[in-house]
Order: sequence, then C-alpha cells, then structure tokens
Amino acid sequence: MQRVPLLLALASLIPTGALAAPLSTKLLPQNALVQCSPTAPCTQPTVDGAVPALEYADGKMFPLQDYMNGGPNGDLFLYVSDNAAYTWDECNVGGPQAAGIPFIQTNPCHSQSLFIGMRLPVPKDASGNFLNPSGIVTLWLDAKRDDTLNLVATASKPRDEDRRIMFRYSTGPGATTGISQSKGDGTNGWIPLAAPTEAWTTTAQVMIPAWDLDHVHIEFEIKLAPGLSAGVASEPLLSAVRKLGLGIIHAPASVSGATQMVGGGRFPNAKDVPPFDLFTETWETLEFKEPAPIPLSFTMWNVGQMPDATFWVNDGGSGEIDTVARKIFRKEVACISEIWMSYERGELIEKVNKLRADEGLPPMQAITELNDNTFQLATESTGLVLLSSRQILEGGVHHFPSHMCTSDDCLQDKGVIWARIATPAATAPVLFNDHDTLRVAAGTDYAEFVDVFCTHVNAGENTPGPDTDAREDQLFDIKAYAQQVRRGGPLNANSFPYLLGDNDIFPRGTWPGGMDRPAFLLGDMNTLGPKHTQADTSFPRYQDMVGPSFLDISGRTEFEKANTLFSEKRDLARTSSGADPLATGTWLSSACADTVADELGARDRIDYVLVFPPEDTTEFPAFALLKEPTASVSPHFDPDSLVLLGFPGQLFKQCLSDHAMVDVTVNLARVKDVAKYNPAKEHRIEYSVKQVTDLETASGCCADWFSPRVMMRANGVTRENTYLNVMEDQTIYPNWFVHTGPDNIIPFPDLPAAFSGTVNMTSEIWEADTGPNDHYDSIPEGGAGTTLDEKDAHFSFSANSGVLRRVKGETLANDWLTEVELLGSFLDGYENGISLETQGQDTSTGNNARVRHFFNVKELESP
Amino acid sequence: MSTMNLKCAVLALVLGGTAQAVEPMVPYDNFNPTEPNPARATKVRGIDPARWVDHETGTRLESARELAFTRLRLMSRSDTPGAGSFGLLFSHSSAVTAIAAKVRLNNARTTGYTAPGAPAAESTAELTGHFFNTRTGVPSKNQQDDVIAAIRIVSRSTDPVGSQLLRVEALIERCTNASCSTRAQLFAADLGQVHQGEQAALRVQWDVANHRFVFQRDAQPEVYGAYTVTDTFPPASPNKALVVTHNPPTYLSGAPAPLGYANAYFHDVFVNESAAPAP
Repeated sequence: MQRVPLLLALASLIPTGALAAPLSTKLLPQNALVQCSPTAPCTQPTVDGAVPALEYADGKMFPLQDYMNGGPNGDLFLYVSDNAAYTWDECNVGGPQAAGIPFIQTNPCHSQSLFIGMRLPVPKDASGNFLNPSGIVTLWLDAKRDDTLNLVATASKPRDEDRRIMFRYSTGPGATTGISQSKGDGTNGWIPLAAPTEAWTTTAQVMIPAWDLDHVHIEFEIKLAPGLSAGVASEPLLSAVRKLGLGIIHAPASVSGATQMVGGGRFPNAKDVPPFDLFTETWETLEFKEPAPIPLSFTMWNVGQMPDATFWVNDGGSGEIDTVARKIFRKEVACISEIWMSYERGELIEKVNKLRADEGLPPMQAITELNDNTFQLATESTGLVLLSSRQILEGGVHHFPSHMCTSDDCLQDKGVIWARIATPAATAPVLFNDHDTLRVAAGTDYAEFVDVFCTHVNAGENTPGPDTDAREDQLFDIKAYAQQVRRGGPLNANSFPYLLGDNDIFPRGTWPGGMDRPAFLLGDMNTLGPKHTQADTSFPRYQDMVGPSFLDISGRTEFEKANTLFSEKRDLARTSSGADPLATGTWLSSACADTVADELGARDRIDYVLVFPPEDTTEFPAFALLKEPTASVSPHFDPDSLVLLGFPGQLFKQCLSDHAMVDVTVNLARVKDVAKYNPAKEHRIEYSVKQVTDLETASGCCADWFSPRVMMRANGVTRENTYLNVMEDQTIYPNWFVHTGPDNIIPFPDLPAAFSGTVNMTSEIWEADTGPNDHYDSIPEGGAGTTLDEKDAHFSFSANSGVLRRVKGETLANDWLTEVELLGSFLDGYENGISLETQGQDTSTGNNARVRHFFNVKELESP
Repeated sequence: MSTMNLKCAVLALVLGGTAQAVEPMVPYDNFNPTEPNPARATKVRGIDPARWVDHETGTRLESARELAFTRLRLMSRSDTPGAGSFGLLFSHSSAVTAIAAKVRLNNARTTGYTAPGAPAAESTAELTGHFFNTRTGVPSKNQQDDVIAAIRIVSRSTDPVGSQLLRVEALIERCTNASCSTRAQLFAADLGQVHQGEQAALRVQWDVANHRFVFQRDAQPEVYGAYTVTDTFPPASPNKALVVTHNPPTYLSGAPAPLGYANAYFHDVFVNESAAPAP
C-alpha cells in the first residue's frame, strides 16, 4: 500500500490533479528594493559554515528527520534573495542585526541566490562523547518547474537545465570536502556539465561551531540564473514563473564507535516519498511568493450589561442581549466584556447561535462562567464571554487575586479568559490517499492554533494612585497567566509569578506549548492609550502597561530584528485602517449622537487588541504576523434609543454601549514547518477529552460532568483514569487524559522505536443528576443504544502507518479495527496532535454531548 | 442560629405567604431545563408544554416567547390599539391561587398621544389571573364579573420621555363585559419604583379566607388588597398567566403612531402548593 498524503493549505487552493502534485512551499525572496534600506538594513546568510538560525530570518525553517535511523532531528533553513542588487549600506551592515549572527558578514549581499543552511545532529559514542561526522548532501534543482507542474512529458525526468549538486564532507582531523555538479540528460540520468560555465555557481562550507557541538553545520549558496534565456535555461526568478523544484537528502556515513547513526534528513520531508534522483515530481516546489496567509479576525467589545441583582447600575448604552448578539454573531473571535449576570452570558451564547443557525452557520464555541449557584453573587465572575466561530481546543478562566482591586471593582471577580483557537489552517482539508482513493481526513490539526486572552481590568483613575496600582498588579498577573498557559501549563501551579485565583477554571495537566507563535490579548484595559502617531510618552500608564514591568510586549524580539517581512505591531487597533487613522477612540459616553463615528479621534482609547510576540529566542518562531494587520472601531449608534440622563434630566440618544467595538484582522504565516511522525523513534501517546458541551436541552444551566473512564490500551498494557470530581457548566474544558510514560503509578511504558502495533482509546461522558446519573451519548452512531459502543467514541492508532481512526467499538476485538471515520495520518504532520469533535444523537433520552477528543504522538528525545 | 435554621428562615422568606390562611408556595418552574426546580421525570427542550400554554390576544409587530438560558423571555412590540397580552398560561390554571416569580422588565417604552381625560397607555410585565366571579350562573365564556388580580411592572406613556424608571403595582379589577375588555378597578396600590433592567421578586396570592389578595414585592411588607364583593363563585376564565401587555392609547388621527414595547424576563416561578405540577 502506498500512501501519498497531501497537505493542502486551503481548500480553495486544491489544484486540479492534486493527487499527483508535488509538495509545495511558499518562500518570498528578500527584495533589496522593498525590504532593505540604510535605516533598516537586511540580513543575509554568510556562507561561513555556521548556521545561526536568525541569519535566515527572512527565509523559512524545516525539520530534517531521519526516518531510517531515528535519532534527534536536524534543521534546514532556506532563504532566497531576489533580483534587485544590494547596495553596501542596506544589508549585512552595521553589525549583526540579532543575536547569534556572526560579526563578519558578506557585504554587499548577494542577489539572485538560494541559501541553504543545515544543522545535523552529531553521533556519539557509548560514553556520550561527540564523534566526527561525515556524509553526503545531494541537492536537486528543477529549473523549469512549471513544465514539471504542467505535466510536460519530458519534464518528469531531469533535463539539461536541471542540476544535481553533490557535496561530500568529513570532519575532524584530515577533514575533507568535495563538490560536484551534473545536469540532466533529458532521458534517464545525470551527465557531467559540458563546461564549467554551465554550473550554477555554488559555494559550500561545513563546520562544527564551538557554540553548537552536537550539530554539524553545512551551508550552501547557489546562484540562481534568471538572466539566461527562458527557452533553454533556468527560470526560477523570472517574473512569470518564480518557482524552483528543490530536493535535498543528507546521507550520513557510518562513524566508527557511534551508538547510532544519526543525521539523515530530506526535503521534502515525507517519510514514504523521499526525493528520488530521477523523478522531478518528488522534489518540492518552492514558490517565490508571500507565505500562505492564515487569516483571523478579532473583536473586542465592552457591552455594558450591568448587574441587576445586588444593585442597579445604568447600562450606559441601549444595547440588550439580543441587540448585542445581532452585532457579533458573524464575528470570528470576539471578547465581550461586562456581562455580569450568568444568565445573560448564557442567553448571549444562545442568541448568537440561534442567529447563526438561521443563516446556516455552525454554532460559535464559547468560554465563560455559567452557573446556577443561588448563593453566589452575580458579580462574582469576570463578566467576560469569549466566542469563537473557530474550534476552541483548550480554555480556562482565571480570576485576579482578590487583593488586586479598588472600590466597586472589589465586588467583582475580574480576570482573564483563555481560549486556544484553531486557525483556518487547522481545519483545511487534508487529502489522504487510501489505496488510490482520495479521502478527506476528519481531524483538526492541533499544531495550527493561536492562544487568545480576553480581559477586563480594574477601572478608575489613570493618574498614579490605588487604581493604577491595582491595574498594574493585574497586568503583571495577566502576563504571568498567559506565560503559564502558553508554556503548556499546568494551571494548578501556584508559584510566583503565576498565582492561582479563587474559583479559577482550568484544564487538568499540561498541553502543547504555544510560546512559538504570537498570542493575542483582547480587553478593556481601562488605560488611556495613544492613537496612531501620538507619542507614547504622552500616555505614561500605557507605556507602563506594554513595557517590561507588566505586559512586556514593547520590545523587539531577536527574530524581528533580523526579519524584514513580518509585522512587529503589538497594539493592533492603535491606527484605524479607515479614512481617519486617528479614529480609534473607544470610550464613549452614555449619550451618543449620530455623529459619534466622526468623533472617535477625540475619544479616549481604553479597549485594545494586543499581541504577545513569540518567545524571544535566537531560533525561529513557528508563526509570525504578515504586514500589516488592519483595524476599525465602530461605536454602534442606536437611532431608536432615547434616554433621560442627568439631574435635571435631559434627553439623549445612545449607542448600544458606551464603548465602541474594536475589530482587527491579521494574517498569520507559518515560518517553521512541522515535524512529522517518525516510527523509528520512541513516542509518548496521549489521549484526552478536551471539551464537553451539553446538547440535551435547548437552554438552561448547567450540567455536572464527570468521567469514570478514560482508557488507553497500548503494547499489551491497559490504563484507565477516572475523573469523578464534577465540573459544572454547559461547556467544560477538562483535559481528562490518559497517556503512556513514567508518571503513571502503574507502569505504562512509552512506545518503543519501531513499534508496529496499535493503540486503542475510549472515554465515557457522564452527567451527575438528581436521579440516576446519565451516561451521555457522544457519537452519532448507536442511536438509543445503551452499550459502550453505542455511546462512546473509540479510537485506534496504527503505529506502523501513523493513521488514527475512529472505530466501531470494543465489544469484539475486531471492532477496534473497524473504521468509522478517518482522522488523519501523523505522517502528514499534526505536530501537536489531532483533535476531533463527536456528537451524540440519542433521540430516546436526549442525553447528547458534543465532545472534543485529542490524540497526540509525541516524539521523545533520541536514545 | 444554626445553619439549618437559617436556611429554613431564608426558605420561609422566599416562599413568603401569610401565616395562617393561605397555602404554602412551592416551585412550579424555574425555566432551567438542565436543572429543573421542581424536578421532572424527563428533561424537556424549551418551554415545558405540560406546564404552560401559549397565550396571545391582539396583534403585534414583533414578539418573542422563549427560554433565554435560565429564564423565560417575553417580548412584544406593538403599535396597534387593543394589543392585549402575550405570554404563558399555567396549564392547570384552575388550581392556581397564588403566583410568585422574579421579574425583570429589561426594557419598556410606551409612547403615543393620549386624548385629554383618557388613561395613559401602558406596557407591563405581569403575574396575573382570574380568581373568582362575583355572581353565579355565568355562562362559561362570559367573563363579566370575573375578578382579576395582578402584580406588575408598568411603563406609561405619561412617564417622562427617556426615563428608565418604572412602577411596581398591585391591582384588583372586575371585568365589566363578557370579553373583559373593560374593567372596574377594585383595588390598586403602588409598590414603588423599579429601574428598567432591575429585578423584582413579585407575588400575588388569593387569601380567600380573609377576602383579600396579598401582594408582595421583594422583601417589602405584604400589601393586602381587600374586597367586598362575593368571592365564592368560580371565574368564567380560570386563566393565570405570566404576560407582557400593551394598552396603547386611542389613536388620534394626525398624531404620531403609538408604540408599546416590553422585553421582560421571568424565572423562579412558585405557585400555591395544591397547584404544584406533576413530576
């Protein structure tokens, strides 16, 4: 059986004949005319053998995986310079732009070049000493890529314009290197170049840097040749084409005394389809264009729905839950603040989803606090609702420690809500070739997410005093919470700087980290901020907020210093993308006129969409933001409103809220490709229940969830975990898990390298009731049946093929092998796991739940 | 006071009721199908048809009668004279002699030109019912002399324009025609102001032994609406209900069209013990 899975970025981009299409990646060449200037110089790799990642910051990073031998992964960096020539003062000038880049750099920079950097693991002996590696790097270059992609008959074989470059190296005493280049013969092989002038000028260096002794670094510069006639020669940077076929294999040589051969790797990185010497279709297509954008939009709106039970407070706007719902139900990710009553938060979610159902849209998922606790004050909540039309993979609610407040704010439990949102790339169709039949895998790619935080901080003055002190404490707390979340938890930790709040709601255990990508903070920060080009210095509390003492988002990361392609914005709604860039004020008043939209430039700005950048390291992040995000601010004037305000009262019109709505659209781009499943390695297997939603009733609050069984059977060992402490809400994010590994009380070993068996998993979803507890149905099959197979989702992972399936059940041994749904193959990626929603359809009891399952195959460190 | 005694005291306060003459109050519907109070043998989706019957008189521009998470939402907008009422009837209204609920008139507006001497137009959220008739031998559909009691939150066209202040009122009326479209007032009491969007716990209870109705708002002292009419005959209409109502003014040609709007929420409905719903 040959499986040729194809990961396609977006459904709309599936090309005709996709089954045969080579893998493709977008790589925008660095353009000296556009990206580089004396005031903002670019960085280009210097081919000195050392490969610090940030030399390639205007390129892209890929893993190098050795599917034959296992061992630690290597890194591959690709960078291309465009046609425009560089002047001496706009690139590699003035010293390194970022940490790790060598001080001596090529100047002026080279145009029309492909730079390839490789960092390959070094073998060790039995005592752990590094040995001197050697090996061969083979590069294949398909110069007229469009011919190959257009299935021109002769283009499937290497032709005269194509090149193969072989680089042999050894290290240590007597180290040698040698490079050779050949061209295709148009039929079935490679032949020597007829003359040296036919060569694509190539430079190669190899070294083991003193600062990275466990890797051998290899670096190439290959001059692309766009100036030659397109009819006979290469075309990579011709404006009409801008493509190159590229294949790379690093074959390590055997090293005497090594415990294991390591360092093999390939590009494209596909286990079952390596780049073949004579088949150009098996090489990857580099498209010289902007990275594929992953669009996301965020909405921040304080809707001022004040409490009605403990005391009455004027709403400040004419909006009601249904009018608010009508304004937000088509949004993508929305942070709604100041809905203090649990039943109004619940009603908002219902209304939004009713409106969406009327338009045939799937329901939004939500994170908020819903409860039916009679004795809990209505205001003891964050008052926040985070809604997402994208899947929410994880979520939690954090309250600021109770001393961080002043005045009326101490009657509330303000805090921050977290949602891990699946981006559009997470649900883009992945086609799977199953016995020459293309099937769409149903799983959500957990690697494609962003963390979103929604907050509302202490109100009050902006002049230094108790209000600003409390607010700054909260800002520090937000930062600590966000860090804890983005590092993968756990959130039950209570050690400075992260402090557990009262009644916090959080998933158990840990989850994949997210420090390698931007995160977003949406909130009413109650802090006056600058608009457009207004000086930060005029807003000292804002400076404090974004500065290093609190949110710490104002500095440039090392990656940003070296990169010229991506956005460095942190405050995304500071400038309006509309006619008036200053129209970003959000703090309105209880009275609005129909001219309010024209007054935003004069209004204060206290509602924000901010960016936490990826962790500041000398390595690549996984994602960055394309230039430049757009923003708009909408006050939502209500012409039908009429309110009597003041004493003596005067009549005014109102906006729906005394805050304007902030909308921001960003485009993420992946700059570091994902690692894939490598059966030659040891793996830790994890299954968990990430989300449970009650579908039993059309309304109401709240289900009391528990699970008596989260089960995994692997390599002859069965592990069952129970989670009997009830979690109350309509939707919970419990992370009820079971996994292999050493932290199980009863040994449950990880999967050994080359394990070829299956791993089976299931879970039961129950609700505690006043009568008998209810076993909820969480799968569409089974109807009103009562057996485990008829209520619970069952999954089976084949370690040999990397394929994860939902299967029939567990009654018969064969049921574990009977596929119900194909989730995907880890050979296609799914670096952080596969997620899947299942939904019950028991029409007899109506005890149905929508459940988000999660499965991950986590590569362990090399032996 | 022990915790248990405190709970009992709180419970007694919640259930209210005059000590000697009336039945104790029991839960009827909390409009929370996930955790219903009182419990149900089976859970329901939406408004429970075993406990409620849709009710609507008159016409309206827009309306909503729905569960809103853990509350009942009744919304009506009308510009039509005689718009009537809109809401839910207790399915076994005959047994109901007392109604209590938490009510929030989230938004209300009543506008329109009122002819000199005519009563102001009103929009209300009410707990209401026909409790008895003052004479015997009434044809089954002739509601004349049915006695109606209601506790309600009221918006009036005479309120200051743009005001967010509403009134809580107790009312006893006698129907003066067969359709009960005209009424004579037997008792009225003002129970104070309430803001739009402010919750009030309301109770109306027939204290037949003392020939009076008991009204109560929140923890305020009970208000007794005594009457002198005969109260021994059953009403022609047994209806008891949660409703929003409009009573627009008589439309005068050339004046701006009247408008009644009420968006109200009800929850934690209690009734007298003998009207408790079947599990």
